[in-house]
Amino acid sequence: MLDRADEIPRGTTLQAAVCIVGGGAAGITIARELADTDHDVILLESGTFEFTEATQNLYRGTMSGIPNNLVGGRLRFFGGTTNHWAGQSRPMDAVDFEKRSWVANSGWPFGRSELDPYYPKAQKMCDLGPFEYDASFWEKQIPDLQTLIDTDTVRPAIYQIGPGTHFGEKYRTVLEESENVRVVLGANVSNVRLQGRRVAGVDVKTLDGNEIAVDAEIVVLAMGGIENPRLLLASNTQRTAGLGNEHDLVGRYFMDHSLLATGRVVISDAAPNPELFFFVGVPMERAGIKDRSGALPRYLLGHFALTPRASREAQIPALSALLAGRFPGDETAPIASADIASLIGDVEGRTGVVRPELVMIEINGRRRVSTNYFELAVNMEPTPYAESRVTLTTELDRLGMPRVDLAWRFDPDDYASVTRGGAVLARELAAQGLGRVHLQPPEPLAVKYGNHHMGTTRMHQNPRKGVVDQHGEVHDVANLYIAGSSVFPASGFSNPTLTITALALRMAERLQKVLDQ
Amino acid sequence: MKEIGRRGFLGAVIGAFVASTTRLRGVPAAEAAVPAQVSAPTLSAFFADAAAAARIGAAYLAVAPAEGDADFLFTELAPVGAVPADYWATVTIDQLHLDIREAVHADFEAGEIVDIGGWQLAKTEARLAALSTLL
Repeated sequence: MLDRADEIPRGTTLQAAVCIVGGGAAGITIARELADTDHDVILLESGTFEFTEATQNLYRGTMSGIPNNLVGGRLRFFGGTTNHWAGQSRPMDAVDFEKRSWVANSGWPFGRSELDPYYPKAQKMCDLGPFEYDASFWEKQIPDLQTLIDTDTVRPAIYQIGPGTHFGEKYRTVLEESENVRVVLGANVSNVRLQGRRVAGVDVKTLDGNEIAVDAEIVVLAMGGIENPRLLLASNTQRTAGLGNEHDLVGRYFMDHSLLATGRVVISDAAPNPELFFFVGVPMERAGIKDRSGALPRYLLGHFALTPRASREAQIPALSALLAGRFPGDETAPIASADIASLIGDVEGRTGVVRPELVMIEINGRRRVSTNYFELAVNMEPTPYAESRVTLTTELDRLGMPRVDLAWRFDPDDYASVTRGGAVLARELAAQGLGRVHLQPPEPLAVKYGNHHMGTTRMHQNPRKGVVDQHGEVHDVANLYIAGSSVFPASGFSNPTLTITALALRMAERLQKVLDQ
Repeated sequence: MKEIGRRGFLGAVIGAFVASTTRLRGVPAAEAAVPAQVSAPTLSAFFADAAAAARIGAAYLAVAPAEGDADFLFTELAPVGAVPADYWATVTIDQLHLDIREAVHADFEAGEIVDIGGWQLAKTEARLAALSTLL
């Protein structure tokens, strides 16, 4: 079923077993899983099926920390941020879930095995290839593909780049045709209501001034890593600090991924076919996998990552890197990359540069000739850091909701960790005869932020350390759940959408059990 | 790999012996033979781009000025356990490439790395480049 909030009579209170707030990857996944069950579901979406400036402007706010993409990094219409998702996917590693003594505030309440049953289905929902992320699998599928490096210190980290499935477009029909799911567009939730310690429902406003409400046994907030804390903090009529915020945790531990230029690399031709490890990637078609939907082609992309052992020894969070093209060259440097390329040839008995066709780098759809070196682009897991946070400001949006301030900050040790990680990579690449690295202080590369807003309603068994429990239920509000990457207590370096979807599948299963009881 | 005539190479090596009293690495001092030096043309044959090697070598000596001594570098660059004079007198260019490559990889694995203007190089390759500037 489909409704528009501004067409529902003012003052109406809708009834549902489950009210999902937010029509992005998490919200749509949960609604889809609950479709055609015995439980009435209402999915509230702020936007419509199209982008509108008026709705998007509700995201506006201030940034007092490292600049991020507060407005453009997410999309506020049906399908949410998947509407501009690039499709880069990878499950999180087992180590990402572990409590690591050298990564402050790390550790999920459960291990990777908890998500293993859900990842393959999430993979299908995201229109990716087979759920295979071992480099050895792809080497068998693509005979001339060779992993750049695989040692005790550095391992390949395989990504799949799917078509960037727009969840709104793909799953709209199944929700519209479902008899028990009611999608309400243009519905902006302004408050979460409680009855005692339980959630009672939500209040809804439209841009045209209409006001309705939803009463539900269960409410799921699935609005992303900034809007989830925003609504919790703004729902302060019954609890002055906001909901779930008894221990001042809501909005803290904001995390995002970013690519940091850590050095330049001159690689040898030791790996016959290292193309996997460039930005460009390798079409899966070469493994005989075709995209039947006719959407964008799927690619494999390789990073090289520190092994858990190497991360532990170097005392740094999870870290991966890839080779990116960069222009112009460094011919005027005291020691130019060409000098090092020559040295590599002398020492390693190799040419000192990769095959000529591989130095053709695709930038913004145009193939360009690279100079004789590449950027070492490092993607490090940010240490969960309490001072990186979302707070409310005194400025109100058109609906009377406080706008946010985003103070994105890195743990002070993180830059040193990136440098240390770069040195480990440099050493291992050279030890394997693959090249030489010029290290530099980390600086943001073209991708300054990943638009991966995580951590602001973190998951922890202990209410003093987390906003939600291992099921995603807010510790101090029964039946109020939170879905999406805001619950990630630690992020690893993988892009989050696949894990968001897997977690949503897990939550849907949980909700169905709760409702069946 | 650069192509040089074996006879010419050996002749150049033998002809370039220079006496030294530098203590040897990896062999007892009492047994130490006098280290030898390879002629500048021969060492240059190791490097495809002598100017590039010279830039790297000069940069290394700028950060390690105490190593600006050819005898010292010949000694340090001889394989562990080898008598430098014998080694440098008999090593072929192909063998030198093999030995240097092995030593360089071992350096990286052992953390014997030098930072030269940001470049992370093995101590051995930096020293070899430095040596090329001293001959």
